[in-house]
Amino acid sequence: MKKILVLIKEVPDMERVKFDSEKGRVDRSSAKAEINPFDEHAIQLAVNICREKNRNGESWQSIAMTMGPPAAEESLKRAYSMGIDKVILVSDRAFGGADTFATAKALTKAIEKTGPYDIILTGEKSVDGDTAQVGGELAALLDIPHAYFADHVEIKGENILVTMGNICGRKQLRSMSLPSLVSVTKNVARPLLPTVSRVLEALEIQVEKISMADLENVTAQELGSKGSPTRVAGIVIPKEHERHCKVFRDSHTEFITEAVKVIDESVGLGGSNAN
Amino acid sequence: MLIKNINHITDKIGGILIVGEVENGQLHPIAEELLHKARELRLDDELIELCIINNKKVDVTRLYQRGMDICHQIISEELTAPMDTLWSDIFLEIIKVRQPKIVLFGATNFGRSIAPRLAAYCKTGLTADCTQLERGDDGDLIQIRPAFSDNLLAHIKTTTSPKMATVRYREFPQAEIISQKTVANVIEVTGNEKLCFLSLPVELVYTMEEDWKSKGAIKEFVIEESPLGKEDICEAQIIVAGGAAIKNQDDWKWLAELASEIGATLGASRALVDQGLASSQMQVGYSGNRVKAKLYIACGISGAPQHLAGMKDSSYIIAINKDPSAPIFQAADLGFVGDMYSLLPELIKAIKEKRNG
Amino acid sequence: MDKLLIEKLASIVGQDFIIDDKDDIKAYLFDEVELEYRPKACYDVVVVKPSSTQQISEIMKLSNDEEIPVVVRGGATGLCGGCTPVKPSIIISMERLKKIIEIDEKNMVAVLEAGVTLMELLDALKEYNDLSFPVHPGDEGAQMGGMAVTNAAGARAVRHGPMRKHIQGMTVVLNDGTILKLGGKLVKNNAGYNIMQLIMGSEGSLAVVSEVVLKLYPREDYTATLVCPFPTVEGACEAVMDVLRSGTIPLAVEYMDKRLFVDTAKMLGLDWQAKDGAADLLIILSERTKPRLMEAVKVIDKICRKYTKLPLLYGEKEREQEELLLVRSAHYDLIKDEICDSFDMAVAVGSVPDFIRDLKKIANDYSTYTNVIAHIADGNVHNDIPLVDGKVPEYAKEMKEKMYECCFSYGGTITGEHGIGKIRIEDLGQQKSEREIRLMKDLKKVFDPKNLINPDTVVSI
Repeated sequence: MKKILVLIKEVPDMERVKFDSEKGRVDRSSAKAEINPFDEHAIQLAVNICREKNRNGESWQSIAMTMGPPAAEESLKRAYSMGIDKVILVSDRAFGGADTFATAKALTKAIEKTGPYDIILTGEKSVDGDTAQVGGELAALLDIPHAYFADHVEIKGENILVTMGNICGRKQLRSMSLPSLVSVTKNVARPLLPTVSRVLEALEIQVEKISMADLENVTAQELGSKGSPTRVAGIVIPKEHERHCKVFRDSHTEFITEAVKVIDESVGLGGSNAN
Repeated sequence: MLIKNINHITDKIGGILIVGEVENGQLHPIAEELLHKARELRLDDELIELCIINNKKVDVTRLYQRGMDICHQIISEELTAPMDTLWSDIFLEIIKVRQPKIVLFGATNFGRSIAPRLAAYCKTGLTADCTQLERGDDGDLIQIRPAFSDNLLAHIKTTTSPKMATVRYREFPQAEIISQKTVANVIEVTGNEKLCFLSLPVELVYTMEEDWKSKGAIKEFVIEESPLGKEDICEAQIIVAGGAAIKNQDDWKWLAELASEIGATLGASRALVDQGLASSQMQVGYSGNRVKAKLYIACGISGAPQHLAGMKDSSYIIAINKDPSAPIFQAADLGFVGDMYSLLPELIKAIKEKRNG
Repeated sequence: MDKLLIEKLASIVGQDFIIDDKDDIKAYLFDEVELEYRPKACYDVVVVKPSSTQQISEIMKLSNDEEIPVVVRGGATGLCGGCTPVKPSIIISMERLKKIIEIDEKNMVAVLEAGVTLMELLDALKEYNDLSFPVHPGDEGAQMGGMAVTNAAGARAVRHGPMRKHIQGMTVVLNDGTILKLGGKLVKNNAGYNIMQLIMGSEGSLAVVSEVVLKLYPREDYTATLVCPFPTVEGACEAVMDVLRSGTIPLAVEYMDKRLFVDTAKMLGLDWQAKDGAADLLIILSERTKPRLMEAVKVIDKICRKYTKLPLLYGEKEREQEELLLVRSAHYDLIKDEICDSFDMAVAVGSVPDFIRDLKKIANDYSTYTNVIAHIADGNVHNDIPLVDGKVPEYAKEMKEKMYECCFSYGGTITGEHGIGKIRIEDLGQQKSEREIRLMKDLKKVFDPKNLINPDTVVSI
């Protein structure tokens, strides 16, 4: 049997989440958590590939995994309702406060424990952290190839063909041997609505849980905030900038001087310091 | 080792390394922005180095003139289209030998894809998509990056070495020219002798070991490359949008010229899409495309709530409209009340003049 | 327009807030009525944009003194030509009365200037964790004042009813400029005739509303939109009635002919996922907690199972639900060029299946078709008459009358939510007795003896 693992992240609903500029923090209680929107495209891709392969008599399974607090189970159930076959929650206090590298390390161990997997999919980036780093770091740690910004994915035997938009100014079609990690854009598959019956079924499923005690060849020192090579030294929440429109009337010259200055700052017209 | 004789480059280590990106045979302009920042960050006699991989030598004269000390060029016929594993393996060898304190990448697709792999190889921290870099009083690098869709700015420090960051394109100005020197001291790295950088800038040109392809199984290869598709307006950084003041297709002329002059994508209000004067891909608004441009120029758009909801998150908004009471002016940073058709040609002229110095 | 009048208006609101240029006023003449059925607009108008109740009062005084009509323009999202001037007039555009005066969390009311749009209100309420406003006529560009005077309703009326249920007070300006405060933050208020309720639904023909006191509600954070495909329209209607009886009241239940869902989605570059079946319902649920939402889903699922074996689809994320609603609302762009008249009839919920069947039959008798879009749980059915070779067919009037007769046979009304405006005055005569219409005219004369406030709207004097 071939297995596709989709790594998902639970994020606050960015349409609603609020920020406290005085305290410099994100008010997570202000918004519901949901699956990172980019990851839903990866989920749908996995479901589509499995459906198509299984229809052709092959045996493929899709698995969704997330690292997060116990409440992240909800997002895994959502993944299940979208058609994922099996879901795994990687959760432990020891994993808390992890940066991307420590997250990649914990996921590597969880993958080694529950795998092997033939394809690992992630969404292009998360809408909260916006780093797009865990995938590449994970691929390096697992010593498998990776491709980012995949607009189209196709499985051909033991290889995966990935079309990427704009790598160094060109579209690239790359072939990688399995296992491989692919980070996908929203172009790869359009998330479909789950059926009501699958949603109701998801309410009842058992979620497989992986904690620190389940991981091998790793200590708690290497994971979570302790195992993170970067740390947040401070957070600044810019006050929502109020616009005071500087309005010019009738005379073109003054407005144009001002506008050219702004355009120059935005796009770099060069001019005096160009050469 | 993949790079031939790389171990002999031992002079003056511990500088700032810029990982360059080659686009259609030319160095991507973000390298000059990274150079600008590297010059600000540099302490004492830290060297600023650039590393590029390509199938032939890339002209980096502009960077020597702007204060770059060393350029490492790894050249091989077969190194045409970038691949993450192979490129990371090659860059890793340069990093191991040069032991930079700081490694900077452009936060382009190339940079954002390769940097995490390289950082994990080095077991070091990486900060994505920085918009500011500073050096604290203790010499430590402070990496400032937006998160949560630009709603907050995180200040990040890395405790491991080297400190790695990808940096947002067009965030920093390009480095200013400081020397008219056009030729660097070019050294073809072929022999076994240890090299010293007697005079800077220096260009080190490497070849690959003959047997590089047999070293480790190649797990990836590029099947083909093709030109890019059309840009998605939601991703556009600069937008010139037209509204009700546009009465027919001809009226787009000046907006199109302005857009091409400043590299902008064209947008439209719903009214124009409804009248068939613009495609729905161009529609900016709550029910069209919600954009977040760095610069949004609204021409003849009155600013119906529907439209404002789709563009108000843009960083800077310029509004041009005949009606002084148009709501667009409440949402804009800079406005002109008057006829856009007499204004735009002059604005375009002024932009051209500025560009030509 | 008389220069002197324009000068007087400019002295009230400032020169910047006057529009009298021929080209520019075009943007201030129409609402969303189909081109074919727009009232003939009078171009001899001047647009003024006051910024306060006081300024409106001064404009009304001027109108009264100079005997020149006024037409108030809100978000112009109406569907009966209400804001189109048909005589030389002053158009009062409310776009600058945007102040959210107060959001009173304790009493759960909002005090708003009339030009605040629904979108702006909803945006402002995002700052309050627990407050919402439920009435949603579809276009969030609609303004509060406009929604009040037209008694706007929309899809969510299933649970919340129309605007008049949610307004507790308003500030109005009368024909002579008198400013009147009606109601307030009161829940109960039984002192005399309820003039405020009379103004709601008057479509701007009795007075100018400059402020409203709006009832707010606890926010329901857990929402879902279900796509429920049925093999027959009758099955879908039966299911709706079962749902209403079950005690699980959805926020909205929307019916649209299958081909409209499929083709509108295609037009938008989307794919309508419910491939099979003949009649699709969108059922929108909204609850305070997740468990309650899931309970409601189970109830709906069980009921629908009785009438359909097709899989129901579940839209939960805001984007998914927005997209489903977009397909629902954008159908109009799909058909607007192929139809000439569209209706807004309403009958008792129990009569909906028969009514839809009869409407389709009438169309069939004329060898044509009619698109049906319905707020089905309110009995509110929108249908239309298609153009023939791009022209209004000769039988259009006759066909309309037959449809109205059919509607009256079920005890229905010619307009469930859009109103009479300037395009259905004649039709109103078919539905109402002469005595009732005379009473309406008499009321109009009490408020507006000189017939200057949005004349030829609802009734013609």
